[in-house]
Amino acid sequence: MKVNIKKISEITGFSAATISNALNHKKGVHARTSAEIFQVAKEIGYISETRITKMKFVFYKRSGLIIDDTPFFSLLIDGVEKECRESGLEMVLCHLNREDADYEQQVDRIIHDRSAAVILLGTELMEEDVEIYKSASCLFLLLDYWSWDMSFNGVLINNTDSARMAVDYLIKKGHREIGYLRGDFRIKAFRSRETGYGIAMKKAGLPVKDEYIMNVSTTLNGARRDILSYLDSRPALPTAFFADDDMIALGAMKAFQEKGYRIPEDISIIGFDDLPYSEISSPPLTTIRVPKQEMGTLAVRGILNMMKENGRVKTKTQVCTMFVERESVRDLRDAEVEDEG
Amino acid sequence: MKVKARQIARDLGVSTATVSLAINNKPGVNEATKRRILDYIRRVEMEHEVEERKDKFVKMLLYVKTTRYQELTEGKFISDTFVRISALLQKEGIELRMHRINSGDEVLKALAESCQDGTAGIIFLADELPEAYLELLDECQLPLVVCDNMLRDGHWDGVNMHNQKAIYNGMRYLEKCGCKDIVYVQKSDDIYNFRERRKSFRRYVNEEMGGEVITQMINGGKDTVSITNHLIRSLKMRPKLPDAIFTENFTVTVGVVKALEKLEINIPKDISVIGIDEVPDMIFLPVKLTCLSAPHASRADHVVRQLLDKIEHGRTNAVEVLVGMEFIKGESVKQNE
Repeated sequence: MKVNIKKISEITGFSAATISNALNHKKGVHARTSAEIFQVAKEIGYISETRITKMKFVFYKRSGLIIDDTPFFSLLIDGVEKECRESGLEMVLCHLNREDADYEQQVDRIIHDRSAAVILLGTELMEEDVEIYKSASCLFLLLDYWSWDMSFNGVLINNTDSARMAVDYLIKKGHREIGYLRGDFRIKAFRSRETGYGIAMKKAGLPVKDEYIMNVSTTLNGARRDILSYLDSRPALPTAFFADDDMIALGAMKAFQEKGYRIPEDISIIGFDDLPYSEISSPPLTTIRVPKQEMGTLAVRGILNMMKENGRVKTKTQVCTMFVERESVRDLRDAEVEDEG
Repeated sequence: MKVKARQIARDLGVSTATVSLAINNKPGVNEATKRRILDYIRRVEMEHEVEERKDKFVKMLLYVKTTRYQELTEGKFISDTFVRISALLQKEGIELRMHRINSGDEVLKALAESCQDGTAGIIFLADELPEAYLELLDECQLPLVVCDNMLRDGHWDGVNMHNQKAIYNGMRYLEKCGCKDIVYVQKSDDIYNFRERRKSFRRYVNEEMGGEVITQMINGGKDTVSITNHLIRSLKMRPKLPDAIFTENFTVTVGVVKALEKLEINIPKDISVIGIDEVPDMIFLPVKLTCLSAPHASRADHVVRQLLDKIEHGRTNAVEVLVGMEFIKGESVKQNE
């Protein structure tokens, strides 16, 4: 028996074009059709190894401190699901909790199932957590995390440049004393944002002053409380703050206002994430928007590329963000003119 | 399945003797090599195990037409439910596959396929499913749990929020606190839970309040900003403020609170507010909200329990679960002196 696409076509009844599209994970082939074609192709020996028909989207939880409050997961799912459907892959939802007693066993089951590719949402991953994933024998991609030793394919936000852009905006608005509201759970994204803050300051010849860096909780009310108690010590304050994320920025804004500071007249604040409520806060928060749906889409495309390339080259895709200018930053240049006049 | 020493040696480029020493924990192999060999064996065995196990899988069909699911706020509740369902099923060794559908044809197709591809059961999230399509679910021959929608003669399992009880509890409480003129503010989305809440509100007013009250229903729009604007306009058109506002869900609550803030109307001194859903800790409210907390997480538990009961224990009769909302007393309703 000659084993070729024509043969598969005879057995399955699908056209040669559909079969070719399915085997190459092109768009427009239904998941079930694709699965059937792969099965027949394997049975008659047209392909040898187990082919990937499923995409596991894994929700990783370490502390829940960041991930439990974020409303972004539904957007990521949306992007992943849509792209999977178009590429004939079944989307499977999985869950990993670092605290579970059988955590490692659960990880093993996920990363050694070669009938599926894995996208791990690694927002809460810490450096010491990633080792186990390096042995993955399935196609594996990290979303929202990056490991410097290049052991993974990754899709993430360009955190450093985004933070730099935000701080640079403050500098352009005439701010010289710029502080940093630093989330006390140091996920990778926050550390990269801190780097971006540092670069912008250095490039402008401005010192990063320790007394302007406040360590605060990453929840809305936690950040508010931390800043309130910090303000009790009547510290010297900068004219502006860059915050690790919107949750912290919104909590801070509230705390400052409760202590009688006006935003942005007395203190300017920039956040990161563009949470739904940042638009309707008083004043509306200037922040950075992350295209989450597109990140989901890109993660799936990353996996599809890995299939094609047979994993020869690893890639790191950094998604650019959009600066959203609202009303929480004061233009100090106007103030100077006013003062002089 | 055992991994052959020869295969290990070939794949790792070491001798079979080295492999044997490593496996039997004998000296003469350096630690790194030994580690490499043992890791390799563990990995290959795991792969075989996974391949042979052939996980059972369940499909979650999500009927979505609106962009509600992409909205960050309501999307969060929806995805909390997903995460919980997948975690619970995973503990039972069952995989959760997810499909979005948005037409009657797709409902039929998804059900027909599921009957053939080895699906063990279906979870149907039907909040947005048009009533006319509900009977399509009759075609399903598999264990089926329908969430957020109900057909009186459906033969499947259902898990729903007890919307009527929540509205009744809330209204009874407002009445007890002396509120007579009550405004219900709704979203513009036409989905099952919201329809039920509106129906219950009207029924309560007709049956329990005997028509001696003034009530009004305001359609606020699809998001917080438009709800805020609608309410400001409506309140300005009224000769006097209502006693209380009943909010349809937390998006509405946030829009209402914003509107009252802008109009400098104090909660609860000038007006009382009660709503469905706790407002997540992502936004500051001027007062602690009195609300009926929708059971997003425990709903997931019931869905999984019902489905497993059918899949694992073969229960054949239909069970309908109504999950009650918890009354949380805050400070947003004015108390009678």
